[in-house]
Amino acid sequence: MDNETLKVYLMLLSQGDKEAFVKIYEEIKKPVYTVIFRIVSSKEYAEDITQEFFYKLYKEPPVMNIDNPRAYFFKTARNMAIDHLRSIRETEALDQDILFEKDLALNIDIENALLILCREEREILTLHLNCGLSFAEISNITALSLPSVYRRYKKAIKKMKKQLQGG
Amino acid sequence: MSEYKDMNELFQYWEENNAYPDYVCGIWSTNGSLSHLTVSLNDINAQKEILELIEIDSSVAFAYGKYSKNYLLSIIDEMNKRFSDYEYAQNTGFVCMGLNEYNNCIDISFKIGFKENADTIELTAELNERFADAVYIDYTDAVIENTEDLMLYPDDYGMNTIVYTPASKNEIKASENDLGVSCIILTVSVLTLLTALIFQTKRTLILSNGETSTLGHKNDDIESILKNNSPEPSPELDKKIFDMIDKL
Repeated sequence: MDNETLKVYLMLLSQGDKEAFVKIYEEIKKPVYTVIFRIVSSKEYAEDITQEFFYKLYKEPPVMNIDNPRAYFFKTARNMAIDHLRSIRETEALDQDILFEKDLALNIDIENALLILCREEREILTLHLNCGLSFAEISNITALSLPSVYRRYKKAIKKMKKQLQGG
Repeated sequence: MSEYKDMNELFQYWEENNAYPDYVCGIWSTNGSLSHLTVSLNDINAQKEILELIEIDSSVAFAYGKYSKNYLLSIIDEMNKRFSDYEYAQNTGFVCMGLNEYNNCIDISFKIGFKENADTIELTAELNERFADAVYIDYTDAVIENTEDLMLYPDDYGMNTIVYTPASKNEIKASENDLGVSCIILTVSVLTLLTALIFQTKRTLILSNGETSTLGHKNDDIESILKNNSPEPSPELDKKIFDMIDKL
């Protein structure tokens, strides 16, 4: 779904259209959850924050005209996850049992491997690969310069390659 | 008695001996032939020096330039070496590069699909930081024709030209030209480049090998794995969310 279609659904949502909410939900649920999960590194917390994200979206949809809904959604999700991290102690963020309870082997490898990255690197990887944002959009969301974004992205990919290929 | 008959002779000397003075920024044909050349200079006083070297003053016109041709050629030399690495050229989506004498810059083209490519962004950021407007970067899906070592590519540069002629050495005239004249001057610039090749200029234009592969990134497999695998929330999450909003 492109940004123009999302804009239309957002407008309908602001008029109370539940069907529009369902369409938006189906489109962005997975990448929103992924962004949040990779920041907080806890399935339990990620689900709570995702729930809160969509609750707020439905209850108080944005009223102003949003040029780039996708970037807006992921920026909001990211900010909520970061706010959550600030409110808890770091040692509570990683709960391995909850993290991997029902995941397949490959997903465990990948999510485990991602933990070797710093939070910023995980964010940039996720926003680009799973959320489909351009480096310029990521630069706007994270307030990092464009060269910084791609450098960290490249560094993260190299680390992941080494980690997943057993280097 | 002047050392050279006309500007063309002086140009040939410079070209054959790679002996461009640092005040020369670019040279192109003014009238479609080698009988009248325009030389862009970064030092207005160098006009006098050139006119003293040639017999036929009317064989040359002058224009203003910012970067010396020697400086631009040094950039080309460096980029030649880097793009000679085939893998690097592929990974960045490099297409072609050339000295644009009229616009006093190096034109470097990348494939249009590489605008968001990490390696390309890294390279273009570096080029912008190091060389500013001495390098002009664009992205193209235009068909590139290969004429020996010369790459021809679409050009739609603007046309504000500051010209001072031997007849008005102390006067700077600015003129705006229409698109028709733009095309003519572009054509003669290309012809000038072709002429320069006869003298085996060191300036080489590197070609991509013409492949149209869309994937040039060596980390494709890792990116693909990460893209296609993401964590799954529990199945109950959907129900929780919709139960919550139903209560509103």
